Amino acid sequence: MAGDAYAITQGTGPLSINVSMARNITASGWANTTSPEILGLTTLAGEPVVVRAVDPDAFLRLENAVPLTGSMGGSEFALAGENLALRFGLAAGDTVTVAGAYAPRLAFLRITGTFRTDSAANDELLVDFGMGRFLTGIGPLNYHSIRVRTSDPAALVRFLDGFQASVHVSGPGLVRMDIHSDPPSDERLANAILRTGLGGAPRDYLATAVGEATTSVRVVAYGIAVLLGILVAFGVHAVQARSFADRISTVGILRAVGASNAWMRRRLLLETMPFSLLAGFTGGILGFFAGRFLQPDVNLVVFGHQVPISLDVVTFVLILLVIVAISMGSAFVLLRGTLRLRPTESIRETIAVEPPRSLEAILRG
Amino acid sequence: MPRPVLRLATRFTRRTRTTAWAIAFACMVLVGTLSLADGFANGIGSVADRIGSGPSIYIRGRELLASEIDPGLLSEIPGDFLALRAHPGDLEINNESLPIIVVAVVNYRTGNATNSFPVGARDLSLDAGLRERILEMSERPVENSGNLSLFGIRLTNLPIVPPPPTRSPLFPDTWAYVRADLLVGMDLVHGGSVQAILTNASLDASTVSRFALTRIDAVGAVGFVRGGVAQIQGTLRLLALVIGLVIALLVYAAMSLEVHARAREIATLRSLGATPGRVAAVYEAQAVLISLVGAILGTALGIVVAHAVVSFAPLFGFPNLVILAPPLEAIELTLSVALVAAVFAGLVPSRRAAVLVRSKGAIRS
Repeated sequence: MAGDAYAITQGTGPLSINVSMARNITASGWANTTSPEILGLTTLAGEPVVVRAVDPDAFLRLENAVPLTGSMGGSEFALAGENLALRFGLAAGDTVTVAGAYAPRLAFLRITGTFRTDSAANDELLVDFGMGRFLTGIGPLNYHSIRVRTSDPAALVRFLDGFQASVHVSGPGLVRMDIHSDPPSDERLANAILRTGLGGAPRDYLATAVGEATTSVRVVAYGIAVLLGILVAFGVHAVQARSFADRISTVGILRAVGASNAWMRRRLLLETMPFSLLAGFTGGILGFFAGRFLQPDVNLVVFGHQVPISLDVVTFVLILLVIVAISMGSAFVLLRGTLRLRPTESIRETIAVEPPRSLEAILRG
Repeated sequence: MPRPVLRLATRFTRRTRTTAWAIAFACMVLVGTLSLADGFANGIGSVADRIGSGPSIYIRGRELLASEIDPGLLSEIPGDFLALRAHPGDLEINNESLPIIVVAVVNYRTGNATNSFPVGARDLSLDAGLRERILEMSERPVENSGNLSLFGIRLTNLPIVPPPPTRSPLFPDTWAYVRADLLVGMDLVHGGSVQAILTNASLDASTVSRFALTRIDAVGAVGFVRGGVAQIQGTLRLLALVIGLVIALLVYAAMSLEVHARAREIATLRSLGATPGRVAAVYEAQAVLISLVGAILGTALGIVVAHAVVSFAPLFGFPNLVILAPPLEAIELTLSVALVAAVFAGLVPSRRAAVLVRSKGAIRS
């Protein structure tokens, strides 16, 4: 959420993210840009969309956003991110329907402009604070978060401490800091927003539900990874089994001339590793480029945000390690079976054919 | 000769058995993935149903402003509800012009419609928030008459009347209210149709289905999560195409090798009087059988693995909302994909088998 700015969210104490705090931060000398924000989860034509109530000047500056069409300000506005506008075919002048975020509401937004940014906001709808408060049910003086771009985070922390604000702060080089607040039970933003039990739901009920829902997404994602892992493991094993079948006699000869089991394992390890590394690397790179090739015609949109195709080094290395581990495991399983045979049995050539059955016998049943 | 065809088709070799296993693992991924996604949707649905989401809003289609419900049918809908007509228009007042939302609300009680506000046929009621905005823009009190542009028609000198005495908490205070008759008079098609039905109690499923209505979640967070899960489900269904392709390739490779390996046997069959069609039927049937056996096995594996993932996830710190149910739709999809892929992938090898021996005398010993 923070990007390259510092994000201040509500702590476990009294409500502190408010107009007064935003004004004081804006007036300070150490804050370059201050963007107070209200975040709402809603739907547009049945699709999930994040609505963010902002001060357009501060927000666009903070996001390094580029205005595309229409006007970017006014007392009542609705600005669509480029991706969102493309997905829904929105243009300046269109009117769309949105539901309330955490309280039952119905509202119509007239799109006054579109913008482009590299962040997740490119899939979002920006509205004025009046509309944001109507949709979310948040009080007239409160915000969900304040984002600050500053070169002096220590001054920000000192200010918040002196302001007696109960907040969490995080940002570049600053692991979450709890000021006049207990650590959050759940670090997700949804928890911070919904902690007060808005929308007629009991306190923490909706927050817990959304928290578990987001964990469920992880469970589904990891589950799919497990399923694909099993498929890949059996695929690798099948290919290696076929390849190893031709080399069983070689194993027998090597053992007959004195190769130990440990030497055989080391040898197999050395032979398998480069190929598995190469295969994993090639597969990962192919997947990345296939994804890039398919965009923008095929976009993966989850929870209202387009999933960007990026080469995540950690995931890439993890996939490589998994492929190497699967290949090693498979190779050892195959070798173990062969090592159980006597060298002479391994060397003996047997024709791998199905047991003969006469066609006549089959036809007669 | 169907029994001999079936006997020959069910004569599985090591290669075809391995192919069936490979298909099983591919189908396991599809069934397991769809089971997890459906289970997630079930869990979210269960939580969403427990959260009071306020009045129900029903529309036709996906966007309220584009929804058109025939008002003639409304008296057939049981219970009490509000029929909402809403259109974006432009208001000229106090020498200012501003875009507004014009609505007409008709109250239905046991089939009887009443449009109590505004009273006058040409009255235009401006709500409090809209009045404040006009005041802010023009810096003088709201005038007693104004011009309204709607459906490309400009109505002049409409009497401006006070805000409505009561307003649903769903609505913002920035709308303008007119009588439904005025909208009908301006445009019989667009102004005559109703955009939404608002009820405190949900409509029964048969009514919703009969009038082809869609429900909008008035609490956007609920709709957001439901919509997000639907996006995940939709994306994962694309996996069926990939799995179908994998199955087709596996079947094609296995059957091509099978036909190649059994060339002599095919020649013998032809010499015994089997027609090319019969020979083709043997290999087409075998392709379908391999695929179906693999799909059934994979379905069972997929269900088991999905249950294992959900059961073990809390042990790894992932409490979740995934509620698995018998994945009947996923099973149906998997079997259909496997069957279609096998039928198409088996066509080329079976045709090759049929034309392998063009004449009965062409058998070489």
